[in-house]
This record gives sequence, structure tokens and C-alpha cells, in this order.
Amino acid sequence: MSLTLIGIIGIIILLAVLFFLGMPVGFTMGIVGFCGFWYAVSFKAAINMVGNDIWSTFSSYGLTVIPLFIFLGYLAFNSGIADRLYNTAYKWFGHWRGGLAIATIGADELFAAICGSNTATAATMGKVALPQMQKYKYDNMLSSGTIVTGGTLGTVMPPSVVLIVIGLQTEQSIIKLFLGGILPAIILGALFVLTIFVICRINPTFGPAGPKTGFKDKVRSLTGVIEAVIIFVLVIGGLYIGWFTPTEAGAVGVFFTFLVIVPTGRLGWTGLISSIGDTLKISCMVFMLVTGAIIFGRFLAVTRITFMVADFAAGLDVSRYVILAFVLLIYLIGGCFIDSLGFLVLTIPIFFPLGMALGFDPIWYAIILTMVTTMGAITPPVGVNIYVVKALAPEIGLSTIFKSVSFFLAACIICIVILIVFPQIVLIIPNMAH
Amino acid sequence: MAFLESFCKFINQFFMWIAGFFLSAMIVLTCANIFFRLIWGPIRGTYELMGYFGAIVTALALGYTQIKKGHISVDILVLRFSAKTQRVLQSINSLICMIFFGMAALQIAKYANILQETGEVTETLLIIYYPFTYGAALGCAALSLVFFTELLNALFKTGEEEQ
Amino acid sequence: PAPVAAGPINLNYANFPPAPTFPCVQMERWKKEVEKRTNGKVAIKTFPGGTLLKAKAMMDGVIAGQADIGCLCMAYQPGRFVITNATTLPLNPPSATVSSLVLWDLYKKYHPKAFGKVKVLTMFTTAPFNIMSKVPVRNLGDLKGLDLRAPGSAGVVLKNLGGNPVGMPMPQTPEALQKGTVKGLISSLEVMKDFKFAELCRYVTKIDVGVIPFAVVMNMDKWNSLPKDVQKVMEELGPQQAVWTGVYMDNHVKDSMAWSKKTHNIEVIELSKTEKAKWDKLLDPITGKWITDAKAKGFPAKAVVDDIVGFTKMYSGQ
Ligand code: NA
Ligand code: NA
Repeated sequence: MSLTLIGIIGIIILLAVLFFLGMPVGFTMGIVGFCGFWYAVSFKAAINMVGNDIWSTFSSYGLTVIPLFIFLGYLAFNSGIADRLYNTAYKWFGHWRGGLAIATIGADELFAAICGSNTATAATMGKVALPQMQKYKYDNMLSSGTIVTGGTLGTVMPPSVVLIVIGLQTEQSIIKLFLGGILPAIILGALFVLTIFVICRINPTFGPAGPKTGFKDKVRSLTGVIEAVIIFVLVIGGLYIGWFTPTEAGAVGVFFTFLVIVPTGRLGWTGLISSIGDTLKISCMVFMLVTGAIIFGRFLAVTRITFMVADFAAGLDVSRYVILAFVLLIYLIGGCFIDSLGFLVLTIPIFFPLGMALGFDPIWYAIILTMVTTMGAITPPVGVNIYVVKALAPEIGLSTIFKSVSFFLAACIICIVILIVFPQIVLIIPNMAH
Repeated sequence: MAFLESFCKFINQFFMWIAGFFLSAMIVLTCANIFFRLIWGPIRGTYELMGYFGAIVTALALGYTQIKKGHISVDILVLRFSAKTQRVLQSINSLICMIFFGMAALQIAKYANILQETGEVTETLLIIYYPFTYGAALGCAALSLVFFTELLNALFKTGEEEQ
Repeated sequence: PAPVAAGPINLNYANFPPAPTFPCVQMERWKKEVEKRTNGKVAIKTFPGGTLLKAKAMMDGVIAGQADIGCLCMAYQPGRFVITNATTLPLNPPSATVSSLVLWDLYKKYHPKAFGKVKVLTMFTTAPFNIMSKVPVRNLGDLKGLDLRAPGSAGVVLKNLGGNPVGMPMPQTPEALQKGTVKGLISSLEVMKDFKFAELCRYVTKIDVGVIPFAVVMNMDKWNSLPKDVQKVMEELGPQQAVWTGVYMDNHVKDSMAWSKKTHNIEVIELSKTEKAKWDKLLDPITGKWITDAKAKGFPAKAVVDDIVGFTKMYSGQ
């Protein structure tokens, strides 16, 4: 049997185990990669590979950035920083039609700037903003859709676990990826706001205006954003200037968040313990995904499939944007059924070299992949953000959330198109930093 | 079996505490390094120590994460099967994963043994680091143990017992 | 079971740095030479950039057969390759060509136990280490407390000379230089052009301390399974490949320095005899300490150092 055929069979078995056995994504990649390597080379080589890749991935300095940024997100999540952010945004925008939803996006944008995960962002804002929107008689369609999609800003705006994973897997500078995500996240947020505007124009009962706030109150409420802004400036600014490595930025962020929240007593022992427990759980999951992808990637490498796909695509006689559209479509469809981060690490060994063979800028390409990956978190039937919100508000029907998300998906797609037409939006800040 | 399950829970809870301790140590070490770098000079070996601490954090959290069902999977199709089918699939899953991580644990321990015997040391501090490698092996072994209890549960526990 | 096919013997050759770097350039050259000299009897698939095995996993990966052949950097695993790593000591190596030959002879003479489970195909080294800096370094005073990127053995050298070694990955170094986190680096000089360090580091101080040794090893079972004539080709190629790589490195350094002088007008600082003596005096304890430590572990440490000095003299034509 030719090596290529072995590789293709390996991919088919991988998908079968994923869907029919329901085995965790990271384990599946590791186990199928191990068996494939065993078949193609030898058992001794395959088991040596597994042991070595687990050890070297777990002990790599580059990856220590993951638990630190996840910890930072959970501390912010458990410490009430989000309440204060939302309160400020609410004072400024609450009296508009759909204002509470717009305030949610605004608070999302700021919270995303200190939190690395989309689920944490969605869960945080869901806890804070959902009760408010329900109080002011917002339609569930608008409120749930806002929370679910607003969470995606968490992965596009730095810091971001997705960007870290892409950076580590493709050996791109995490700092540049972080900087590249800032403007797209702002544009994406603006498009979400626009979507809310349009929805409320068509159907004013969806988002009735809230009470007005005096100008003095508005100004006074600005203190609520101070801690988040300082953490963001310290972490991302420190990276931009070159004071810190990404790992150090994460540690400094955690340390500073401690300084801010411990004296206020807003965290407490239970909050701290649950932050640590959740951090271990999430970062362990991410590590297993990365390790599994590395092992599976070695199997693909030894069968030479990755080299072939890239060569094949580069040799096609169509515009590279047609191929890009095709890749994005695969991510959209895959993102519907497989957890978005899992799908990303699964496909990067194939699609990243492909993008490079097509001559795309690596940072830009990575940001585009991040955008389309993060859409997977809000597309049914497997969309983690949807279930986060469903868990917070069991009374809202899944079909309602699915419907509301579809409005916002249009905004995501428009944003991706804008970034494809104007790649400078992604590249301007990373290039300035150099 | 109840004993095995509570033993497994206890071990992994205990490992999770150690992992949490090393996570905190990573933050303290990094911040201390930045602080000393500003005033007189960096703490030598920070980067390599961080890598080894991180290995302990992840490895010792493996079993805990599995107990809490933290590893993501694609269950969209599986959830449509009958309860009985799901149990069969669950036992196949647990068996495969138990064997895989058991072998991984052995292999990593073997590697740690090579490091110990060949006298390999770290690049900057020139200290031994194989104890961390044994730690990673221990984490995989604990994960394998979790799958073993899950396998027994899927095979022998009846519906009533679960409630 | 590996697929059995008629046709050439397939060998997988793993390497850890990216394709354009010199360990991979010599890999491609070796592949071409072997394929040519065996008349296509052997086909070699190369895997650069750590796609098959990473740097520190190379030795055990080759022993287990994860790759048939692997190129490894011995300096990444201090303590494991004690005898061959002695070439990192500050014993004034004149060039990569000489050091590569010295390393090969050292291996041939001692057959270190560290390589007992593999077939060693060749060995080679980088060019000697020198100081590249944004500020001129003319004497020990200039070096006092200076932050330079200097990993591993270069870091030990710098520390003994009174400087402040900073460890960071090479790809991060240009940015750190630009931002002033480090004021220069200690490395072989081809990086002046390859990483465009000449734009920032206008001064090079020639000190020629230490090199970094590499080895190319092959799985023992795989080696034993090869036909005699193929083995013969590879055996012959061993020392030839060491020289080829050394000469390639030295020419690369020459190119790099010519470019740096022409494009960025850098200054090359040679130490005076008296200054050099002062530096050597500070560096001597490094070798002394290595001898004590290696001897305690049961290695013929003194003889190894004497051999390095002797072989170096011989190959430098002194
Ligand atoms: Na974020
Ligand atoms: Na989805």
C-alpha cells in the first residue's frame, strides 16, 4: 500500500472514531496518529514518538503561556470586573433602542481585551447582562443572540487562546498575531452593533430603550473600566514594546489582577479555588488537543500527505481566492459539527502549509482562520457559546438562540470579506510594532 | 469497585492540588524574574524551570480533567444512539484510552530513566530534570486509572446504581 | 509491517532546524551524494524543521526507529555527550573546517558510549563564536555587565569574562536587539548576514571561543540491514561530509562578513596579544572545571582536552 493511501485511510479512521465512538478530539488524534505511525513505520518508533511528544509538548516553555492567560481570564471572570464594565457601558448606551444589547457588545469588547477565551467571555457577559435585558423586557431572541455572538470577540481580540495555539502550531510570533487581532475585533464589534441597530429598527419591541442617565453619572461610571484598561495596556502594551514574552505578559496580568481584586475582597477563597480548578481543566484540554495534533501531524508528515495537499493546491489553475473560499467553507461546515478549537488544531497541519503555498501573509491568514474558527463556536448544532448561554438561561429555547445567531453570522461573514479585501486592517499594527 | 473509584478520585484530586501549586509557582517565578531583571539581573534558568513546572501542571491535571469531562469530544451522533449502545461505545472508548495512556506512562517513565542513566542535565542551570519527567509519567498513569474505573462502570454498573 | 516494495531502499532523515539553515543544507548535500554514489540504490526522504523529530528527541527517536537517520545538536543535551561536547570548551578553534575534523577524530578515537546504540554517519561543528555588539568591545572593561544573547557554553564564557549572558531563542533576538533588551550576541558570524544583525551590531570582536558540535546518527538495525556496498559509500562519506560542512560554514562566514563590511561598514576588533592573554586567563578555569567534573564521572578528561589541542594544531598546519 502506498504511503499516501495509508494517510488517507488514517484520516477516514480518525473521523469515524471522532463521530461514532465520541472519543475526545485530542485523544483521537493522538491514538489514530500513533496507530498510523505504527503501521507505516513500527510499533517501537510509534510508542517512542508518543512518549516524546507528550513530554516535549508538556514541558515546552512556549506553551506555558496557555495556562497563564486562561487563569487571567478566570480571575477576571470570578472577580466582578465584568459587572463594572457592563455598568459603564449601560450608563452610556442603555437609553438607546437596543441599548442594553449594544452595551453588552461594548463590555464584551473590553472584557475580551483581558480574557483569552470565547466561552468565558460569553459566560461572563451572560451572567451580567442577561438579567438586565430580561428586566427591561428585551426579546430573548435579541438578548441571547447578543451574548452568544459577543463572546466571539474573546478569541479575536487579544489575548486569545486560539491565537496562541495557532502561533505555537505554525511557529508564528504570538505577539504579532495578538496585535493583528485588535482592529478586526473592533470592526467585528462594530458590525455586531450595526446588526443590533438594524434588528431594533425592523422590530422595535425587541429592544425597548432603558432609562436615561445624567451626564455626570456617565462620566463617574467611567471608573468601572479603569482596571480592565490598565490590565490590557500592561499586558498587550508590554508585549508591543517588548518588555515581556507572552508567558511573562500572562503572569504579569495575573499578578496585577490579584493586586486589583484581592484588596476589594471580591474574589474570596472559593472564587480563587474555582479559578484554579477551571484553569487546570481548560488548559489541560488545550494541551491534549495540541499534543494530539502534533502526533497526528507526524503521521501525516511521514505519509507526505501535507506536502502533497499543498503542492496540489498550489498547482491548481484557479485564483488563490477561490481556494481560500473553499477552505473557509470547509471550516464553516466543520465548525458546525466539531468544537471549533478542536477542528482548528486538527486541520492546521494541512491548511496552514496550503495557505503558505498560495502565498498568503501568515499573520493575515492566521487571523482569517481565527475568525472563521470562532464562528464555529456560535453555529448550531455544535456551538459551545450557544450551550453556555442555554445553561445560564434554560427557559430560552435552543431554536430561538439558533435563529438569533443567524442574524449575527451575516456580520461575521461581512467582517471576513472586509479583511480579505483590505488585508492592511490586520497587518497595520503588527507591522508598526516592528 | 467503590473503593477503587474513591481511591482514583482521591489521587486525582490530590494531583490537582499539586498542579495548582505549580501553577502558582509559575506566576511567582515569572514575576520575580521580571522584577529582578529590572533591578539587577534576571533569575538564571527561569525559562527552563517554567517549562518543567508547566509539564507538571498539565500532566497532573490530566485525570482531574477527565473526571470533570473537560476533554472535548464530538458527541452529536453518539447522543442519538440508544443508552445501551452508548454504554458499549463508552467501554470501547475507555478501554482504548486506558491502554494508550498506560503505554504512554510507561514510555515516558522509560525516557525519564534514560535521562537519569545518561546523566542529562538542563542547559542553563545544569541540574538534573528527570524527576519532572517521572512526574509527567505519573500524570498519564493517573489518567489511565480514571479510564479503568470508567471502563468498570460502563461494564458493570446498573442504571439504578448510577442514580 | 512496513510496506515492502521493489526499487530503492527508502531512508527517512530527520532534522530539527528550518530548511535553509546549515544543518539542513548539509543534509541535502549528503542525500544527493549518497543517492548519486549508490546509483539510486538508496532514496532518502528529508524532514527538516522538526516535522519528524525535534532536537532533543533526535537520539532516542533514531534508536527507536522513528526516523532512520537524524541530525542532532549535542550541546542541547549537556551531560549526555560529555566527550564530544568538550569541543564547546574555549580552546581557540580557528575554523569550522578544523573543528569538524577535530570532532570527527575525537569520535573515532574514543568511540564514546553515548553513541553506542547508533551508527554515527558524520559529525561537524559551527564556526567559532565571536562577539557582535552595538557598542565596541575592545577590552574587558567594555564587556563588564554587558547584556548579550549567549546561550549554553557561550553564556558560561561570557559570565567568566564579566558580561551578562541572556538566554533567548534566536528568532527573538533581532527584536530584542532593536529594543535594546540585549546589546549584542555571542554566536558564529554567519548570522551577521542571515539574520541581518549587521544592521544593528556595527562591531565584531574576534575571540574565536568554542564551537557547537553536531552529529548525524543512524538506527543500528537499519544500518545492519544495508548492503555492504551502500555501507561502504556511507563510511567513506563520513569524514568527507565533515570537511564539506566545515568548508561550507567557513565560506558562509566569509561571505557574511564581506557583506557586513561592504553594506554596513562594520568594524572588526582584534584583541592585542596582552589583552587576549588576560581573556584567556579568565577562560582557563572553564576548561579546568570541565576536566575535574568529567574526570569525576570517569571520563579520560585530560587526554580529551590534550587531543583537542593536538588535533587542532595538526589540522591548522602548525
Ligand atoms: Na481576548
Ligand atoms: Na458550531
